[in-house]
Amino acid sequence: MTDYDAVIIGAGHNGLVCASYLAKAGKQVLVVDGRHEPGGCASTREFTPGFNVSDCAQWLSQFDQSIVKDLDLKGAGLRLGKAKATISLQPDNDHLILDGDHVTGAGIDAVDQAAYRDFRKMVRSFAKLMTTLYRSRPPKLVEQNWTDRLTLMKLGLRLKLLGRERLRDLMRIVMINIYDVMNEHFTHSALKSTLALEAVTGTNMGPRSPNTVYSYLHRATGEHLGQTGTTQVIGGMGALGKALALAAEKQGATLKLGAAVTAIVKTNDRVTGVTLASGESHIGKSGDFQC
Amino acid sequence: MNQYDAIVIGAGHNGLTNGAYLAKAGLKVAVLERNPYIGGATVSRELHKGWWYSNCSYVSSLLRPEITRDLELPRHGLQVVSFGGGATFMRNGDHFGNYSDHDRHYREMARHSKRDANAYDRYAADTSLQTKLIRPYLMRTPPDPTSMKPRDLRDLLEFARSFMDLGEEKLLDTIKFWTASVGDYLHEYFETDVIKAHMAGSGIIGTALGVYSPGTAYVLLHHYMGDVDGNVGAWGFARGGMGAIADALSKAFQSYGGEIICDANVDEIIVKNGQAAGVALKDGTEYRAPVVVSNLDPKRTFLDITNPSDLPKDVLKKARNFKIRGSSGKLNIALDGLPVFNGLDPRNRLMAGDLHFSDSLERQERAYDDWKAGTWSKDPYLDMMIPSLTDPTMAPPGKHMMSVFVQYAPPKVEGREWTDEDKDGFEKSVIDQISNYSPNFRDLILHCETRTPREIEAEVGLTEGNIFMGELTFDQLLFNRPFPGYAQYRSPIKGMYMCSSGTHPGGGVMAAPGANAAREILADLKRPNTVPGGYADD
Ligand SMILES: Cc1cc2nc3c(=O)[nH]c(=O)nc-3n(C[C@H](O)[C@H](O)[C@H](O)COP(=O)(O)OP(=O)(O)OC[C@H]3O[C@@H](n4cnc5c(N)ncnc54)[C@H](O)[C@@H]3O)c2cc1C
Ligand SMILES: Cc1cc2nc3c(=O)[nH]c(=O)nc-3n(C[C@H](O)[C@H](O)[C@H](O)COP(=O)(O)OP(=O)(O)OC[C@H]3O[C@@H](n4cnc5c(N)ncnc54)[C@H](O)[C@@H]3O)c2cc1C
Repeated sequence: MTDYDAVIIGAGHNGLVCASYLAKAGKQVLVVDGRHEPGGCASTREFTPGFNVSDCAQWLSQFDQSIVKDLDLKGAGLRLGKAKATISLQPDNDHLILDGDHVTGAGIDAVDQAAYRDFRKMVRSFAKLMTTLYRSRPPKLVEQNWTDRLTLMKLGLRLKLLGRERLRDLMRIVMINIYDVMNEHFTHSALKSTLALEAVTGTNMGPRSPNTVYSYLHRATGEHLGQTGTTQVIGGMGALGKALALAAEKQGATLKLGAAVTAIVKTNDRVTGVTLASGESHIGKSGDFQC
Repeated sequence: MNQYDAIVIGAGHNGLTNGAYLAKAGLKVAVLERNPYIGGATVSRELHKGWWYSNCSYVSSLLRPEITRDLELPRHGLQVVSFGGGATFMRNGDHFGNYSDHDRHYREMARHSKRDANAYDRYAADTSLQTKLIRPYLMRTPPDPTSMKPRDLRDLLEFARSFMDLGEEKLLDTIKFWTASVGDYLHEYFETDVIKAHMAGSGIIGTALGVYSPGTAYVLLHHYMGDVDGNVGAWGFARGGMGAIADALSKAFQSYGGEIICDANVDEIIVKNGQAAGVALKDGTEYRAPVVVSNLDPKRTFLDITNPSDLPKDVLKKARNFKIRGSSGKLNIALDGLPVFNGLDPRNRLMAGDLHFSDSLERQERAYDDWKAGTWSKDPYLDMMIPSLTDPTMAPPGKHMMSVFVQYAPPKVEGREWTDEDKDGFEKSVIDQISNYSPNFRDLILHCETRTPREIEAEVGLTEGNIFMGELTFDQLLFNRPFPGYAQYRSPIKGMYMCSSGTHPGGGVMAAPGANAAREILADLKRPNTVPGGYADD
């Protein structure tokens, strides 16, 4: 078969978003995935009769809301719950609750509460800077091309706009560890550990490993991507996968599930198609095939 | 009247260098030192009769050649003899020998892994690229990225350009290098545990980080960027111990008319109308000068000897947050003869190099885990040397002197101060480690002097015993050292400066901080500059 402009291997949420935009731009797109459900790590599974679980990811906190709008995911059935507070359970039932800029409970004092507000303010300004990078392709640093130059210029401007003191703070903390930064800002130990957990979740680093402040900031970008706080997808993360799949199909993309790719076909140093486990192969239209 | 043009607090090698360049410019300079002897962490002492010890720092490479030549240190008695090679002993009785001869090195590596042997030249070339990138900035004041001053903008542009000139691919390699862990960095080249462990040591020495902590690849670079007589990356012994460097610097300083005053424990910097005016000693003596330079680390400088009311709040906060955790200890051992190590001929020239006993990154990381838990490493990483094999003046004929640098030892033990029992426990873990590989070692010990972070702090005044006067992580390097906004050797108080290893380019016996600070001071005084510029590499 030689019907597509592009084949996307993997119907994870990124594959589906990519497919939707390509299809929206009028390309003929095929998405193939080895699994029988779309969404990849954004999936829901019935793990015991009557009980469903988000298989991998469970919380949505960084999904770019402009994509929700562009691809009309609400129309495709996506529903999000309310933003959730973070609760650090304490043995004496006086739990620490982090909600937006406010932190209460577990005997936290006014000094730490104020410090938390300041900390959030600082984090917000840094995360805003990072979204400048997140919303464009990672710029090449040396190569002369205008797209990347523009990104770098925007970044430079944003850095200047931070103001001198903030910029100095950023220079100092961006590559260090969350352990030190927590101790610099707070005295409340449950608050420190709750925030530090955000910085190490999903990494193979401990709170004392340098670069964990960066991973904390990474997770804080959500707010600038239009998401206010951490939410749950109604129906589990799989509902996001399904909504994305539906949206992709609405844009005209073709989805083929249960079709694992075994090889990428190359002709003369050019990618021209894929071979599936079934033996079937998809060869792109001559010339502008992308994979 | 104790009136001077400039007072330097502390006769560490940086204080002496700073004093020398100020005096060379014609200023009347006094260096005030708390101890009865000079040198700080660059010192030789006879703590056991007949044996000379490099009490703290023990090998030289970082000392800037521009300064050695300019101050004519060899004429003042300095001789650095490079040593070749080293070895890591393995638990299985074998060892990895790090020969300095290229062919011999290849054969030894190939004995462990042909693939690693073939990767070595690529590793050496890539690492040397990073070295070349950083070396031109050692003898320069870092630009302030937040400043709009023409000088900062120009220097920043030049700095950026030297990175851009690398090209896309090499630039990305560079970014990776500056942020990677030494373990991950070595993993890109080598597969053999002992080879990686041998090299990784340089990434953790003096550092409160483990081989898998990001940022430790840079620390490796910090140990590669020096040279002995132009041989980049080589290390050597100063004949007579590291004190020979301080002695030569002090002679240069005195030859320009400088004055050294020992047993002068500075209590406070005197500030009048926002301008430094001199210092007061603990015994009440006062010395006056419009320029006061601190050779103390940033914590001591701003939190101990400066009156807090003379400082802006942000600087106090920055000084408090400055990271200066101790992570190392040292044993200086007088030996009745030469110890024998399993599997190594005592006549092998590797014996004169740096010897180690951690044969895997895993063991090194575990050693760091102990530090995090607030105790000394039970299976410590050792950088052990027998300087008397290279420099016979260190011990009586037939006897030997051993210097054992130990990673890790925490600044506090489980949150409390070190006790003498802790010190004994620490000492035992080191002696046991060596004895595991040397059957006759224990019986040869005549005298053992153990330095935990507590002793290092008490003797030299290095806060928390941190050997580099502040951790060498990116938040405290270049324009961030000691803190962003204050990396150009000036303090917030007019006339007060910093010249210690706590400033750019950081710790080690390098003398660059002292020289760079002098250049800035002379510029502020509108005096002609006496400090040499940096050499360019080829
Ligand atoms: C346990 C866990 C918990 C997490 N928790 C969160 C969370 O709470 N919040 C959050 O934001 N993130 C979380 N994450 C991270 C997040 O889920 C992932 O980063 C993200 O979903 C990855 O999306 P992706 O589209 O890039 O890749 P994936 O979702 O991994 O998609 C890749 C797809 O490719 C398919 N594929 C692979 N090989 C082939 C082949 N040969 N042929 C055809 N198809 C193939 C796979 O089946 C899969 O569907 C979590 C991840 C895990 C694993
Ligand atoms: C155990 C150990 C091993 C090391 N090994 C090496 C090595 O092998 N190679 C290498 O290159 N580097 C090594 N280093 C690092 C290197 O020695 C230091 O970074 C460097 O010597 C610091 O020099 P400095 O002049 O900045 O400060 P210092 O040498 O610390 O000088 C500061 C001086 O100020 C004095 N002082 C303190 N308080 C007062 C006061 N209130 N009044 C007056 N004077 C005061 C002190 O007594 C001291 O003399 C090692 C350090 C240690 C501790």
